[in-house]
Amino acid sequence: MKITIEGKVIEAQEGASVLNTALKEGVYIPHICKHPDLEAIGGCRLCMVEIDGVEGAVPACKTKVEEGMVVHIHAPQADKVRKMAMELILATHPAECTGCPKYGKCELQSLYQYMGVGPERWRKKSRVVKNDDSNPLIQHLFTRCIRCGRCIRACRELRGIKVLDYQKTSDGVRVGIDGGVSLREAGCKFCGACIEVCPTGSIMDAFNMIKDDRSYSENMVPCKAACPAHTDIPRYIRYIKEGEFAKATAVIRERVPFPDTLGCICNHVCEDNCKRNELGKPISVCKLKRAAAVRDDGAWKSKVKKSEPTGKKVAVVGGGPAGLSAAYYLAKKGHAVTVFEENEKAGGQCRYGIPAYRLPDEVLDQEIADILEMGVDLQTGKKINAPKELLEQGYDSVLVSVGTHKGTILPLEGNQLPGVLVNADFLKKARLGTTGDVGERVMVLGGGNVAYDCARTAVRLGAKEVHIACLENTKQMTASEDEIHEGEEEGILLHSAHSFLQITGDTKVEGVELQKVDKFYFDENHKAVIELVEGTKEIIPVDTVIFAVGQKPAGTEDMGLDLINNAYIRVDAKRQTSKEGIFAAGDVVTGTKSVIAAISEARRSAEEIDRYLGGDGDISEQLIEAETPSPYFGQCRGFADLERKQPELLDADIRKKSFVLVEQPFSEEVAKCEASRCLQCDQRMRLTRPKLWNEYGGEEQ
Amino acid sequence: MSEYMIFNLVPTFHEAPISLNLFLKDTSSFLKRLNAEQADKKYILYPKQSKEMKRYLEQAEGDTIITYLPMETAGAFVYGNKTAVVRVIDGEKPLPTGVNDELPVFSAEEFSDIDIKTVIIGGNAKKKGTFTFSKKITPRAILDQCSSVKEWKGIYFGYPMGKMLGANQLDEEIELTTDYIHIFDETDCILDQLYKIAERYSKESCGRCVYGFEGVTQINMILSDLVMKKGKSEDIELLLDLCSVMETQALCDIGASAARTVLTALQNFREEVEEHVAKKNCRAVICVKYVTYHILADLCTGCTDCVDACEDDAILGKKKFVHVIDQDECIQCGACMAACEEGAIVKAGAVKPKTPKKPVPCG
Repeated sequence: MKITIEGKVIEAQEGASVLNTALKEGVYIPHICKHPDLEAIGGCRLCMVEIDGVEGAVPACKTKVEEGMVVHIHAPQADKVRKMAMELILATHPAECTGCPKYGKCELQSLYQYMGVGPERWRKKSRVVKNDDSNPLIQHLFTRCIRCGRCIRACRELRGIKVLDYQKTSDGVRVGIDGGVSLREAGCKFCGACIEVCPTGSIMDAFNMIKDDRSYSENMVPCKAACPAHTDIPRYIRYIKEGEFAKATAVIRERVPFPDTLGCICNHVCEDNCKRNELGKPISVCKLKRAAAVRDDGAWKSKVKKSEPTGKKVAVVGGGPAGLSAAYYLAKKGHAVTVFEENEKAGGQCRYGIPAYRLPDEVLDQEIADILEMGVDLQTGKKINAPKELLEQGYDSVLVSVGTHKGTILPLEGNQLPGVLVNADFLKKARLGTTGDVGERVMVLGGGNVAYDCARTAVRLGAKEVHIACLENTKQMTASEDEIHEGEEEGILLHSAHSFLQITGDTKVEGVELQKVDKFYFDENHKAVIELVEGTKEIIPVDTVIFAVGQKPAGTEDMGLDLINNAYIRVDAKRQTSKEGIFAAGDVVTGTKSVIAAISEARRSAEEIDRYLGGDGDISEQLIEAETPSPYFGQCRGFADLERKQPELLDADIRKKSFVLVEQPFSEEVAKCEASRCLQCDQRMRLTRPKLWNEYGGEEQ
Repeated sequence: MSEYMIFNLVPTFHEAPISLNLFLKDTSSFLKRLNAEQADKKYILYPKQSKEMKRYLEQAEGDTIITYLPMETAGAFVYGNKTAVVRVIDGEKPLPTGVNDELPVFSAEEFSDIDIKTVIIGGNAKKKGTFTFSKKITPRAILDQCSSVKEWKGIYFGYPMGKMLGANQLDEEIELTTDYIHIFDETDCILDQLYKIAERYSKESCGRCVYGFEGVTQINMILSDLVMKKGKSEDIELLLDLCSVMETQALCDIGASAARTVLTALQNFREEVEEHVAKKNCRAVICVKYVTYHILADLCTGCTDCVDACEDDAILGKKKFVHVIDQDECIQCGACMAACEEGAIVKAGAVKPKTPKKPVPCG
């Protein structure tokens, strides 16, 4: 049907309101209590219009369109009601805008500037309500509230959480929580919809949640922002909650080709940034990823798109997570990709650095097989010393992703004695079953996850007594809490905050001399400062010492490429090395990081290589149809107190004797339960942001 | 057959539990008729603290067809709005979303479908309490029944009518829909009464719409200023301007009724209200800021009772001397007047009695 608004003939949908019809067609009618995602109530009286044949002014939000309707926005009666309503709102709203954090983004401010009205002829008195920053994530600054009710409708009707409501107080009606309890006690799900729909600065994110150096979406969904590969975490967690594990895996696979591997060993920085940390413990994102991956049915494969062959050839040197990921994306773009892997099998650190009890071969084999299925040619047992030669052999581009496989040995007396081992070699040999005897007593030097990998591997190889010594105290140690805890269960003796003075022994290792550290820190020049406690020297008798104090790239010095610190390959912003056509990615560029960081870097370099080869550099993919999640959350008492689920672990006595996987994936029920703890921060981004008057293309302004 | 039916016993005025009383008086007949109604679900809403209701429910048993919902209130205007009442069955607060009389919500009185209206009359009526009138009636017919203590001045019909009528409207027929009527006589100040009514509305306002909530807030602040002698001459026009818009633009009948009360009061008693501003006079000598207290020399015995009663030391004088009130110190609390057994202390509006400037011997 057609209606006329302010002289403009507009196509209208039957059943639509005059307001929505006008706004949709770019004709602005002032309004504030109506939000695009919420039902109209007609309370603010700003959207007043006059309609030919109808007496008086009527609110456009509550008036349905009718064929041939003639609507006037700027008519005397409508203007009078609108202006007076705005004056009345302003009369009790704090007058000073400049001190308000919503300044410049406030719908009320924008509106009164548009309308050009002020509260001068009325009694002016703001209703002072004490600011409440006692709740996690959300602060209430209700002195600024104009009672538009949008937060209440969002909380009660849109989300169904039903925490916010109108409260009668001796100072009048205001927004609040029944019984005056905290948001946590009231069953708030901290979805942030109330913050998002508030037109003024009355409900805002807690101060510590908004960081100026992050974009809006990064602040809103910090887990996704923190993930190096920007995996759509809330989206796949929602699928897990619904028991749709295959769909969840597809979502993960849209960003990474190793969901199961990551589910086993990811360092999950997402969890450190999870907003639920403010309520207690974060969502167990990593373990949920695994719960999804082990239940994958491979349906995503039917959605994978492969471009027509480009006729270009790419060589990838090093078949670790970076090299394989890049190979996968480049093959999808139609390039002929060959991966050269020095070792007998591909997988890099995932296979030869991470022990099998954390990441079994089968998991890796399956995910590598999926990659090879894309048409990637894998040549194992092939060491490439000079990537340049590959260009000469006819490859159009080369990616160097050889990782960091050379363990560091500290300049310590006795470090050349037989019985001194180094992390990378030791772990690789353990995987290959060629370590030989480690003796009864082992000392691992280092305080990171790799030190634990070495120590726990030594336990499994039969050592009776395994020590770890590190300079850092337990708070400073980089090993994850889980590792420390599981290591302790397996009988590992930790000497945290200890310096290693020397390795004793004449012909072979006999012990390690340790001394207690009083203080260990880095000074302003980033130099390590170690203060020792006098009289605390002791020698721990051991048969084997394993250095686990870092790893470096092996063999890069002979590649003829510019290096940093004589080991790491220097790349430019386009991930290209000093030699045109040769790119690099992963630990060999960044130093030892994480698998997820390596994959993220691999994606970047794949994009650049594709562009270099004449492609569009777009490796994004959609492996599952976009679905709109329900905005209705429903009620859940005690939601904020739901406890983080722990995975089941094999009994320590059993796991000490073998390299069988320690951690069991979540059962379906536990996974669904854990996933239901997610705040679904991304759902807030799905709310429509109301346009301000100046965003409407209008001749009328 | 409708999905549900709500039988509402919660009063709009806690002073006037008309429907609750009607129900309790003849429960069995009400329930019989309610049971005959066709609806999937039937609810009875009642004020939780009603002892009679509690007693009734204790002995009523096996009644599974009807769900009894106790409300945490003795009465509130929102219970007169059907859009508000229907929300209660979904566990929501009774907040009006507009006006819709088609909803299946009935008070005991509506359910009886009779042509008479029961009301409670309060204020300065000679006969107070429960009355029944024909629904269509003139104010004079009501006044004939209850009459006023002193000379009649006005009649106020409470929510949802919101009308304050004077002598000129006595014979105009009205439709009686409120449960509560208040009679004013010459000892009442209309401004003071209007302010009290406005205060009541500010407690009843649900906060959902700008005109209802901010409108009532402005009415209160302006009336408060007028009562406190801080009013301005343009305030009356401002109130009229506000209320004429508010009457049609408030989301529900509560805001409209508040506006109508102010409009009718200002239309029918404009002179009396305006005098407060223009002549600094409260003709009923009620608004304390317009009132002074005086001690009449010919009646004062110099007993010092009033001096003792005054907490602000505003009364000069000693035994056997005519006491004098220092008007600069007096806060018009009225304690002296209550203490004087001789009736020598009087309140005065614009016209002040002649009194000595300082204490003089009695007699």
